[in-house]
Amino acid sequence: MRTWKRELAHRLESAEASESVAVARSFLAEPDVRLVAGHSHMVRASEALTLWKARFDISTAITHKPIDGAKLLIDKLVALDPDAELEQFPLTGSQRAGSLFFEVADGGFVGAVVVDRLEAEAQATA
Amino acid sequence: MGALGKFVYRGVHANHPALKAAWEGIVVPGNVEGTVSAEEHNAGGISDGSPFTSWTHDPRVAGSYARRTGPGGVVLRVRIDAPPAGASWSWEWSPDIFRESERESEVLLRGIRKEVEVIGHADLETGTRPSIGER
Repeated sequence: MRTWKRELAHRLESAEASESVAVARSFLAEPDVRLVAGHSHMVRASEALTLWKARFDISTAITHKPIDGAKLLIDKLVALDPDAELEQFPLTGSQRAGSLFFEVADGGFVGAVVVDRLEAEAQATA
Repeated sequence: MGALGKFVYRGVHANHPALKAAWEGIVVPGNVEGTVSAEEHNAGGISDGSPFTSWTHDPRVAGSYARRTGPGGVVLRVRIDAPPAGASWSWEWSPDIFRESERESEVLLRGIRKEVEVIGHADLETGTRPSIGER
């Protein structure tokens, strides 16, 4: 297992069991998932909230293409300090793609957003 | 690119650092010299360092982005066409992981582009034809 994957799996082990953690673990367990550009990046909680709220609203009201974990992530982001720094790990594989988010201050898991690539591609070509 | 000649739209929200430029019909990415890839840009959370701006074929999606921090945002519109020789911008493919359009994928604009059409977004929520030239 690659170092970053082992590190993320370790962080998820200490997270309280939840639907969001299950989404993240399932995504991370995919054999060919890779870290986009080979690194994570930092994002403020308020910026993440505005982006993912917009993407969630679009996915539910316009495109009807669900983003697993988006609502749970938004609920967590709303409760965070808007200036809290998050570490975002963008991941992609042949089956699914998305991101995992952790708090920089304590390494705690915040949430995950995941989409099914194959379903999206099938809808796009339908 | 198979969408040549079609319009694409961009929503710029009220707290966006490039809002003033957007109202003047100028598109400015977070960092025109940035090395962020299309894949990284599409993943989200890194637009400050990105040479790209995101555009959608669906005006309702652009309207949603324009409103995401409340009133005061703006929607821009351009036709997808080949950049003229020496242009400061170019179109690039987006992986569009989150499928932010019902039919056609999001596209990315690299660089700074001027003389972009500024349209109101009040009509975009319902997907009706946007009003042109209103500020």
